[in-house]
Amino acid sequence: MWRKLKILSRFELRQTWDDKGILFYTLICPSIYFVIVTFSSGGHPFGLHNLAYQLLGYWAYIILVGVLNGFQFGLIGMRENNFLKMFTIIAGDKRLIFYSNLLVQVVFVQIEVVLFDLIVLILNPASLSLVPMMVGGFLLNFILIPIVAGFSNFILLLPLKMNVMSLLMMGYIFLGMLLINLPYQQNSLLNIVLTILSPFSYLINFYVNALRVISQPTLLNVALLGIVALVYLTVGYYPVRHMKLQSYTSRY
Amino acid sequence: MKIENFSYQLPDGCQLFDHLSATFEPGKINILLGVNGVGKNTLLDFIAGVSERHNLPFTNFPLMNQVAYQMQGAPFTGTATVAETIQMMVDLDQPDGRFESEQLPAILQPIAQTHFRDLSGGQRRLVTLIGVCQLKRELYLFDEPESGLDVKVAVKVIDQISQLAARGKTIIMTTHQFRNLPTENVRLLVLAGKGIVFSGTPAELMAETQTDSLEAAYLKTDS
Repeated sequence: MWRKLKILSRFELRQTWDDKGILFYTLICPSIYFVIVTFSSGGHPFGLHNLAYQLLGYWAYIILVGVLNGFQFGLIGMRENNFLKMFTIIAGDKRLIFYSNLLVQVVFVQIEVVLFDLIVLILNPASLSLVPMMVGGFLLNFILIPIVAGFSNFILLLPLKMNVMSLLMMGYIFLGMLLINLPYQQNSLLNIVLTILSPFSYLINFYVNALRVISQPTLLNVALLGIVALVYLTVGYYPVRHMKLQSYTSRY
Repeated sequence: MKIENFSYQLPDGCQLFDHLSATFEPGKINILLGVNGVGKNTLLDFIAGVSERHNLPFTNFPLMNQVAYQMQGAPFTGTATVAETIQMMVDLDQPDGRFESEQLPAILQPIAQTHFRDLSGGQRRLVTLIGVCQLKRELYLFDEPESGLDVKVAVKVIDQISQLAARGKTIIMTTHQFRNLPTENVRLLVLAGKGIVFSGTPAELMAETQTDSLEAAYLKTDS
């Protein structure tokens, strides 16, 4: 099984590298935004504490868009061009295609996060003191990326065309970004509801508690984050088992 | 390998099969004939296990990991060479397998180091076909294998398929071509009107329809 996973991962790494356009949304767009904000504020866009918090938002964006575009849309694309069907038969197990794809996306997203952090460090030398937080965030991402995939894996089951799906997901991303900017307290009901429903809010809440960015973690929050992770990892496995291998847009 | 009384509706509600029954003989080339849209591809998907066939009346078909399936389209990475593509297919199939580009069949040697994106449609199809033939499985499914290939190459492809049957492998293939069809170990199944309307050897089909060519016999059966 591990050998097959290695072979498929190598192949999918190549496939992902062929489609470098995704970097525009996951790395170049947030970097340009950060550069504009930095220069328009004379090099001091945020205080260090605020910068730390803003950084979490950028990470959350890179992860979610990376998972949606690279992993889920990648799989849907594979399904529509028969790749999923063909390679499931050759590999003998659909799950191997999913796991190898997720593995490759974890690597890609992590590279993008590191590159983004480097841009922040170059543009704002004061952020050097945030390096330990950046390392912590990098390590946490290995846990968080599969959880975020669990949040949004449901789209693998939707019988929608790619362009409709892209539009819906754009709305999903904007709504998620909007909601993390609502003013609410750490232990408020709104925070709990958003942590359960929105992967953006979940990611921010997880970083805030694990990296102790704003406050010390509370037992309630830790329990909430753990339960939500377990639920989405379990629920996210269902589409992996039941995703159709054949195209929704063509009988062939 | 048997299908008994299988009925199936497409998601749009169209009834594709109605109490379809068919027997595919092991170690033979079972050729599925039928007009476009009659459901040959859908049936192959069920046989391969790509469409869920749990609790459906399919008996004695091997599991998915014992099926090789050449489907329409050639979904491979553009930057991989032909040799790398075949090597990956063989590596995935045979855990202890070692495949070197020198082992590629002669027909692929001239394009061994060509990137997949630089191949013509016919060449891509050929690579997929040869790759599928390299897999060590019990059952081989080919969906219009000679379509898009020039006559010379099509003859070689049919020869590869015949060799698989000669080694005792079971083949199920669909086709619209009658010119290059294999002649030995062949069994025909004609799919029409939501079911199988004929199954037997080419000679039996011609005798039953009182025609002297396979094409004429098929046209008479499917009319």
